[in-house]
Amino acid sequence: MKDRLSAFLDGDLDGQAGAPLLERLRNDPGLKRDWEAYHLIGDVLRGDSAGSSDFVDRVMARIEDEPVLLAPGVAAAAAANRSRGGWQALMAIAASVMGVAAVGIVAASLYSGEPRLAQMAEMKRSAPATPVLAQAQPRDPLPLRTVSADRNIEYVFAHQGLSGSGAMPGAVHYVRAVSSVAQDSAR
Amino acid sequence: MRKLLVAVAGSCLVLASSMARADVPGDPLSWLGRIASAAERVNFTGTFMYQSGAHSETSRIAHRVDEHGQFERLEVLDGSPREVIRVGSEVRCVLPDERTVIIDRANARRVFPVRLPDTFRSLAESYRISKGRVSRVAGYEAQAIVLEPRDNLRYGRTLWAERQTGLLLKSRIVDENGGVVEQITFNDLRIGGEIGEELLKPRFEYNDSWRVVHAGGNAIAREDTGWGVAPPLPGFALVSAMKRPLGQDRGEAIHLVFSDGLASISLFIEPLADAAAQDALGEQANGAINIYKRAAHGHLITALGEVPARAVRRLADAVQPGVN
Repeated sequence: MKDRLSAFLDGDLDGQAGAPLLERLRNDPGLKRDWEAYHLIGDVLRGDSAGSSDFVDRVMARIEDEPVLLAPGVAAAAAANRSRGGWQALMAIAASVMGVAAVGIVAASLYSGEPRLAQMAEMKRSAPATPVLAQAQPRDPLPLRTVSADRNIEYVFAHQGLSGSGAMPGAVHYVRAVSSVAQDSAR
Repeated sequence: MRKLLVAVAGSCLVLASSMARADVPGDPLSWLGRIASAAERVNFTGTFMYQSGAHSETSRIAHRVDEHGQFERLEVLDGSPREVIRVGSEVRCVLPDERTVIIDRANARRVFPVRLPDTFRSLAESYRISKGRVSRVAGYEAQAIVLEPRDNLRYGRTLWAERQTGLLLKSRIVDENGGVVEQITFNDLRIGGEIGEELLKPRFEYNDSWRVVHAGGNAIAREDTGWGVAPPLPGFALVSAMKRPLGQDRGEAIHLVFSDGLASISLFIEPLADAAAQDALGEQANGAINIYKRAAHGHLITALGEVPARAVRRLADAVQPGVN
């Protein structure tokens, strides 16, 4: 059904073929959300939507939001049954929106072999929840952190642990690893 | 009863440190020794400001030392909450927004360069060390110690130490043009006294859904690293070598630490899994810490430290397999 939705949106379905789809849209809240999501993505891709960078941040923040992905609830299970291809299509579009950032995350996940990779796989397998855009409402925008910055935290933390404190008393030198001052400039 | 013992032991420590006050050293090298060991002798709690570039951030710290070891809690008060918890030899870095905790276990064989007398002698080869003025920091009388670098592979530093205990009250790192690279200043500090459990209690609990990174490794002999640096970086000596597991089927990272007695550079050498890792090569800055990554000999080589960019670059570029 998602493929048809997508095709309809692209103008590949004529009016007759589209009629049942419109009927489904009226009755299926999930499909309606997807419909809205596709439109929103389209708007962003065309640059019609203001604040698109914020949108990307929100999508990214949701992707980073692990509990949703790792502990899909009843809604998620239902959603999994509902649509698999749709989620992946959405991911593909989202990836093109996010461009380098998303590629970077995937690349870094592959490289690092951290649980993140498993989470990406998990994300696809369980096809969580309502589509990403429906979740992407600005609840409390999380700061966007790249995996690359995360890796640097680990390096810096290990460095501070092993190199000694310099002249700093106690754990003060660890501030270099946890400070968001550092994270800002690492971005 | 046990609490009483702890209290008694604590008082003894305080007593010992107050006896040590009798002879406040005159020479700047002895001052450095006192600064380096102050945290092992005294409890303290307070807030300090960390500045790097145009940014600054305030953190709160509580530090307790007793016969069981050192216990600490550091919390960043600005921006997203972050916490560093130390319980004896274990240090945890808790990042609630990222649902990540990084755990490091201090190894018994670790070298703490600044505590060794030898290091202080070699320090003098890298820096001109002198006593500065006495001033007031966070309400305490502070003795300034000035370290001017003898070459451009390290930054200059000024350290302000509390006159009685030697505890560092303020630290400033400057580049060759006199620009401030990093400054840490206590705004408010209480030295000595009891540090209650409530001041050390972690604020954030983590569970299985968090990403847990074990940064700890095993110390190895320098001959066993399989890697070396040629030519060596002047003034920096290898002080520590470790192996850190990277996770399933990914081998191990070698972690080497080079130090001039004050500044240190870490070298991480890990198998280059695939081309995907090459997206972040080159120079990066992380606050006062410069980072340089290169791919060579089938490995990803990461050098980082609180030193000028040219120093991390030179060290990373000199890494070769087999040289000790």
